Amino acid sequence: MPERCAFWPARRTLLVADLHLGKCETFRAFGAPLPTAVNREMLDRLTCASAQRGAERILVLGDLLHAPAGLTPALLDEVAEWRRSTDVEFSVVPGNHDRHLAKVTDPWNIRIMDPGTSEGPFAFHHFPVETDRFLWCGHQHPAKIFRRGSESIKLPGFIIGSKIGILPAFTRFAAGGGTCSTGRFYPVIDDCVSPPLEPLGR
Amino acid sequence: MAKKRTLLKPPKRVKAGKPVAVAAPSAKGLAGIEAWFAAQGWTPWAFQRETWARYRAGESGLVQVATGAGKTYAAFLGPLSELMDEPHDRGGVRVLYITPLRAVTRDISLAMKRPIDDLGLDLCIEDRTGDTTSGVRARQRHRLPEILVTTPESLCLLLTRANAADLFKDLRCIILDEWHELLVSKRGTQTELALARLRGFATRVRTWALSATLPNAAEAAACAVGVGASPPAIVRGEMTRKVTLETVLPSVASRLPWVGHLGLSMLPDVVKVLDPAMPTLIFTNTRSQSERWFSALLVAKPEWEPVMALHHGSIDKAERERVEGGLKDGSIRIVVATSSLDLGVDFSPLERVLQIGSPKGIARLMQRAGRARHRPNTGATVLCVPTFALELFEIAAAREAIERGELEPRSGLAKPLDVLAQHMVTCAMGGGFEERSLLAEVRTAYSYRGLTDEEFRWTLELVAHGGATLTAYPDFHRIESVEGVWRVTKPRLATLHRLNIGTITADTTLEIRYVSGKGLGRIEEHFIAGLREGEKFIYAGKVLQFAFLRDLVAYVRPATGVTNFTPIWGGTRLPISESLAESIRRALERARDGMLDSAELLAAAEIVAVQQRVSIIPRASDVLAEITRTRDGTHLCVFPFEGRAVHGGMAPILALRLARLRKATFSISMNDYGFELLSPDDFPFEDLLSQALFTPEGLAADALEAVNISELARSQFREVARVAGLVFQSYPGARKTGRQVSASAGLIFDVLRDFDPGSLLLAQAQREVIERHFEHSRLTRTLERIGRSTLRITPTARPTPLSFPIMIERLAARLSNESIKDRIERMQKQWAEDASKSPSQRKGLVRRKSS
Repeated sequence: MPERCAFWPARRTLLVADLHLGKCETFRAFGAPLPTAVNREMLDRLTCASAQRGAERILVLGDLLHAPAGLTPALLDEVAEWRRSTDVEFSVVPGNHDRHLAKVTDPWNIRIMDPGTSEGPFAFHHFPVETDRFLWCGHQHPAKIFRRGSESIKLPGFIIGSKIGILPAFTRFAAGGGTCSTGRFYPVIDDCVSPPLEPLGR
Repeated sequence: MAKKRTLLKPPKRVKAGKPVAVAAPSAKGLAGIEAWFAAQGWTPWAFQRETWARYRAGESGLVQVATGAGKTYAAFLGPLSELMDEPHDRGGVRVLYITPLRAVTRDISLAMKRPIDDLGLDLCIEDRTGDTTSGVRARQRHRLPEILVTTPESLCLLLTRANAADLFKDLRCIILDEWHELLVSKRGTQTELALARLRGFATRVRTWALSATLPNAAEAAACAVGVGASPPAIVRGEMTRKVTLETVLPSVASRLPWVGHLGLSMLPDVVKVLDPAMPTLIFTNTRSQSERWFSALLVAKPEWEPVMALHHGSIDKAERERVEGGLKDGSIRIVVATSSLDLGVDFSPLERVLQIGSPKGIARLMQRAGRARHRPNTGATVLCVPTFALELFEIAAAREAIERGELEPRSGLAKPLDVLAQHMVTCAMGGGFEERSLLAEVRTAYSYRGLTDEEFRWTLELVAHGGATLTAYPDFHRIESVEGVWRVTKPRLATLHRLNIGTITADTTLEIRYVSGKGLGRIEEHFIAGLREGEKFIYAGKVLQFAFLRDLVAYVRPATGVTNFTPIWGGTRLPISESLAESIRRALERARDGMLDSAELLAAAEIVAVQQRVSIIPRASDVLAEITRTRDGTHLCVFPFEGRAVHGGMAPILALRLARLRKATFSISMNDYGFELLSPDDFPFEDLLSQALFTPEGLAADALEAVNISELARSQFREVARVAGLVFQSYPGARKTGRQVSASAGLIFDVLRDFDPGSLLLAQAQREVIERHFEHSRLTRTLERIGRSTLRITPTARPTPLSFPIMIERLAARLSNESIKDRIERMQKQWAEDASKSPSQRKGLVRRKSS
């Protein structure tokens, strides 16, 4: 989906990865003024995407949070409020940024899943690992640079291979560039996911 | 440490009866200085005496004099004589010497120490830079030496001390070295603000700036001394050394290509003029060019290896120091360098300077020529090496401009808010500030004399609350107001600020090391990212093999063999200066009229003839526009000769204005001489092009519409974000802490654009793009000039010697290296064949090609 997530109709599940909630808060704690609206926009986008497809569950493939310094009371409240406003189930496969996930499990009503959990034909993990099923994961923030003359544009996207699907970072405040030869790259261009494109030049 | 002790006097001893402590009649000090000069067998220059006298009379000002002509003593001995005359207590810095170059502080300290020692004065002189040892730093925390040599960044660090006001209260004199260099950058702006602060601490302080000759000396002086002081004095050194310019001409006339920038075809001729017996500095225009030349010279003359070296800004500091040392003691005889050696230490044994490629500017060329200074009272000579045929005009033009004494003016920046933001945090740490008094103080800095209340208020909001919209940035406070005084209250933020002070934007570079551990320097991340394991490339004059990347360090192994793969470092290509551009137009006019009055123009006779045959050569009062049809489409090449930046701004604007007359898309390319609009289809440039399209009217609006300013602003934002403290260059403690807050400025730009589009920092990035990238004011002047000129629209059957290099620029942007080379060769061959054919045959060729 162009909202930078994937939908699994059979289980009514919306797959997302790398939200990095509180990243701007972390920056502010270190003295760099970055706006807080980034989180809000993400929650709105989640609401939109799940409502559009009638999702009953949101499954986060790791890196829901960014860093402990970013877990401000305001952020905790904002997300808790958002969770109360919806009855969609919220599951998280912890990622490398999620060491403090325990702090938000209760207030945000989160179900924590073991990395590598499998359901039907799929397995879910934060990192791209070897499994015997089709693996959905995040972590790499796939994005590629497309050039035209002197102009260039970096587009996030999905990497889909025969045994793996890597989601783009859901947050817009994340550098991309993870490349992976395990599949083809499907960039997100505005409001659609484009067919595979190879970047021009290097 | 022990070494330092011999240089520095321990500042603790306070002894009565020392010569300085005795009150003396006011003339005594200067007499002492004169006597010291006599004892050295020297006579003070008139400008030195004038500076001393003016300083003693309480004046501030600017001394314009070439490096090495005694400027340090001109500025320093005035305040020294004053210190000799007036009794003073220990403690507190009296003379502050600010230099942009950390590497020269030691030499400057030594020079200033000579008279102090000879006269037996009990004065302490120390330097304070990033290299100062922790022991000296600890001592300086409580008390500064009487004479302190430092850099703008280290000065700002001192200003973050809570006792800053106390440290500087006895300051008498500030000396600004190489002011023409500092002035034009944000480092200069930062210095202006720091000086405004110092003047608040020490009201009696006088400022003396030292600079190369500038046509706008009064403005430069005003930037140095600040607003509100009495008009600054301007002292001129009489030692203006004559610069002679010679050219290494190709031995075989046809060897000089019509296109290119590396100039390696000139290698055999350059090797011929080089001689290790004669210490030589070879200047290039870019780091990758210096790498290529160095390795090519090594291949040509392997026996020179022990006495030849490479010097550029990305090379490891230890290696650079080895090269500088080797130049001084004569063990290294030939150095290939970039602007990294433009300034700084005098390498007295230097006998010769070569400039490879376009000199770009007149002052720049003179500065480089001045590096060879072994023969007193004789002129400096610089040997220019053209890299392609049209550069012959540039060299001829540079000579003429030097003879006419035309130099480029240099101005400071207009109130950059990112620098102000950083300064505010500095002041908040250094004892705190009150809003009104800081505003008044900041306005005494010349660059900020027009700062509005709103801009000040907004910058304060930025550092206090993150931005004008309070709700957007909860929990953000870099500075907090405590009873009306703004201070930094969080120690972590204070530490971060100290680590990130400064305005020099380091590119995203990685350290480059041997696997065995030895450091080599820094390299662009972008370049490393494109390397495969085992791939060979040239760096620091060595062939290396990429091994692996770990923890922001690129590991390499020494390799053998030959490769042409050279890193390309970021940074914009310097456009030719306005003065040089004007001179080039005159040189062309002389060539047009057959006045081949210099060796360079004579060597260019062939290209002149060809250009005149297929097109015309414009007069200085003409603007040439060539229209050519090839299989690529319809080309319009316009030649204002105003430098790449101006052409880069002008081309899209003209494209936009043409497209308004008839819908079309153009691809654009440009070089220092002109720009090209290419329409893939047949486009009637002949009918639509007119003088009216070059009107400066509506320029700003058209520029916004024509250029993707936003994309350019995004890249400019890196510097703004770094200075304003939105991205961090270094982090305290563990790297882990850093990772959570590492984000590229581009990313932050996107976030701000999407979520706080009103941010003034975004506006500043845009302003900086328009002014710096397109040289907006120069663009306006150019359009006005074109309005007064005759537009000479000339259809040509083929690309001409003038348009050919521009067309190649376009190909270079599109194709990989290998294929461009092939294509150039093919085109040039075609050209030569074509030129030898009769006109009718030529026509046939064109038709065949365009079908």
